[in-house]
Order: sequence, then C-alpha cells, then structure tokens
Amino acid sequence: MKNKYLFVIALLAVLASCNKKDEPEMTKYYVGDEAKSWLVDECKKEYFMLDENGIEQGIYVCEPEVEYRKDTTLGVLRERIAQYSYPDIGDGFGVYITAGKSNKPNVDESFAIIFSGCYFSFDGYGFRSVASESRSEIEYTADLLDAFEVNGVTYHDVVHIQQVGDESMAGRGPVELYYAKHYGMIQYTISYGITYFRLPAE
Amino acid sequence: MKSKRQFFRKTAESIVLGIMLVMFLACKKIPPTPLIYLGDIPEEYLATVPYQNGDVVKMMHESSRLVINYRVSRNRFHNMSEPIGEDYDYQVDFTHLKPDYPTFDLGITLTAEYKKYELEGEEAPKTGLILLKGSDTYVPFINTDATGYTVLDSLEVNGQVYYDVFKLDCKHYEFPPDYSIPTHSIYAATCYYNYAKGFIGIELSNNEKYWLYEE
Repeated sequence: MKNKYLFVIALLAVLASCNKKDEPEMTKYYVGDEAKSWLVDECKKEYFMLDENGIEQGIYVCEPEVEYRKDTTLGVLRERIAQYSYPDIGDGFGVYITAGKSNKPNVDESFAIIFSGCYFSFDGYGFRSVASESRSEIEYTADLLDAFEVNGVTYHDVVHIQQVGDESMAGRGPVELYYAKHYGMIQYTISYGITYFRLPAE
Repeated sequence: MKSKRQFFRKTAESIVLGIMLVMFLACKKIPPTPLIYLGDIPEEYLATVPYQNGDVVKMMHESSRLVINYRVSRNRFHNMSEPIGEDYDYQVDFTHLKPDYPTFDLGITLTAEYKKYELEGEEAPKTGLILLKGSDTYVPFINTDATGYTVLDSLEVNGQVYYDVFKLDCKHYEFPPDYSIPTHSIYAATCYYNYAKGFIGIELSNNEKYWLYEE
C-alpha cells in the first residue's frame, strides 16, 4: 500500500515537471527618470486651455499606466508607461514612453504622442510620424525647443510638431502641437484651425 | 454485502434519473414573453420640442460674441426594454443639435408612458431628458424627475424677448474615481428653455454663457 502512494507521488512529480517550460532568462529594461519627465507631473486632475474665442476646455490627466512587454525572440522585457488625457470636448490623447526600441532594446527610450488618429514618435533614431490609414498622406515635422511661452508662462523642453505641405490636408489631422516636459500639452491647433492655449495653474 | 450493492445501485439510478429529469425540464421551451407596446408619444409631449429636422439654430457665446450654428436632426424610432417576463416596445423621439464649432452637443429625448416603467422598477426611458455639456435636466411637467426650476414670465436675450421661460437646474455627471470616464469640472449648470423656441440660453459652471441668436 505504501509503495502505491509513493508511486502516485512520483508520477505526479514527473507530470508536474513535464509541464514546466524552460523560460530563457529575460533581460529587463526600465524607463529611466529622464524619459519619465515627459509625463504630466500633476495627474488625476484637470488643467485648462482657452481657445482664441475665449471658450475654455478642461483636460483631465489620468495616472500613468505601467505594463511590461515581453519579446521572447530577443529575450527582453520592456517597460512601457502610458498616460492618457481626456478633454471635456472631443477625443482623448496620450503619451507612451517605452524602454528601448523593439529591435534594439538597449537604445534610448522612445517617447510617442498620440493625438487625433496620428502617432508621433521620438527615439534614438530621431522623429517619425505615423498617421492613421485615412490620414497617411499628411506629413509632419518636429523639433525640440529649449523654451516656449504660452499665456505668460515659459515652459522648457518643448516638442513642437507641425503639419507641412498641401493646405488641403488641413482639417484632417492636428495642425500643430506643443508638448512640454512635466506639463503635457501647452498649445495645439486642431483641424478646425482653432488654437487652444494652456492657462497658468491657479 | 449484496443488499449494500443493491442500495448503491438504486441510489445511482435515482441520481441519473434525477439529472435526466432536470435536463428534460431545462430543454422545455420557455413561452415567448408578450410584447407590450407602450403607445405613441402623446402630442402634448411632442409639442414641448419645437425643432424640425434640418433646422439651424444659432447660439452666441456671450463674451466673444462668436455665433455657433447648431444643425438639428430629429428622428423617431422604436426601442425595446426587457423587464423580467415582459418585453416593452416604446417609441423614442430624439432631437440632436450638433454644433459647427468644437463645443458641446445638445439633445432632447421624448418617450411615452414613463410612469408604467417606473412601477415595474426598471430603469425608465427618460422622457423629456435634456442632454447638455457634462450634465442633464428635464423638460418640466412631463417628467416628475424635473427638479429645481423656476418659470420666468419673460427673458430678454440678444434683443428678443421670450415668454414663459423655464430656468432649469442641471445635474452634473460625477463619475467614481476609477470609472473609465473622468469627471470634468466645466459643465452646463443652468439651462433656459421654452416650448416655443427650445434652448434660449445655457450657463456653464465656469460662467461662460451661450444665448439664442435670432437676427
């Protein structure tokens, strides 16, 4: 009888070990503090923007969401932080900060802004923009400004994205965006040609 | 020993029979629930919304004097509600005012027989519900949920005088902190409405005001 139990236990142990797959050791990449400075510091609250006609808009900033993306081919685990913002009128937008590039995980973090169906990405290889399929013909340029002033407040380290080329494209994507480290969107012009300006915090 | 085995066999047979009986009953078709038509929307309800499909309503932003055109679409359709045991078919009249500027939409929903739903304990189709920026309110008198309103004999707006105007308090949508929709602080706090012209004015919580503009 005792032998019978021993046999069953041994069998279970063998079966349990068969289920286990040998997972390769994953190299983990985390978003650095410098890259995190692109997130909005004050989250779970609203900031306010005013358009040229004095119509105010509240933009609610959510807490950053952290996830880990596994790439078994390269054996890497990459941290990605997303932070979404929701205006009280219109579609939400957000930023993604990812540790490394998918094929070169040890290269700098990449930072991306998602706005109105367009994806603007900055990484160790520079700027690239990807518009949604219906907007693929729209071209943008981007530059990094040391400082930019809106409503009497000077913001430092500001990404400036601008639509270029044919004016007939206007009205089909964001026209111009200014996004500052620590603060988020400070000025933007939407497809209606209306510009919103960040109001100073009270 | 034999009787013990017989006992187990009988018990097993009873269990199998019981399971089969339960399965048979479960397979039995449930009779279709009756479809109850709640009737057409009464004329006096429809008369509280003065808009027609294709109308253009102009609203002026008070401080900038920007005129925003709201295009009206008004549709009537049927909807279903499914309280336990009965299906309700009810008529819906939905008026949507869509602006040509990136600001808030406006809407009014009318349905019939509000009270009947209320008695069933179901979520009632909101007859007379007025949808605004981040808040809602009700057309008074056809909905008992309408609270916090006063009737103004007259109100002068952009050089026009409007009579029998309801000044309606609006209920701000406040979502729990972890809800997928955040709560915004700018919302319509007061709505001015009358049966002849519809929206006369809207005051937001940040003190922005929009008034009907008739040339």
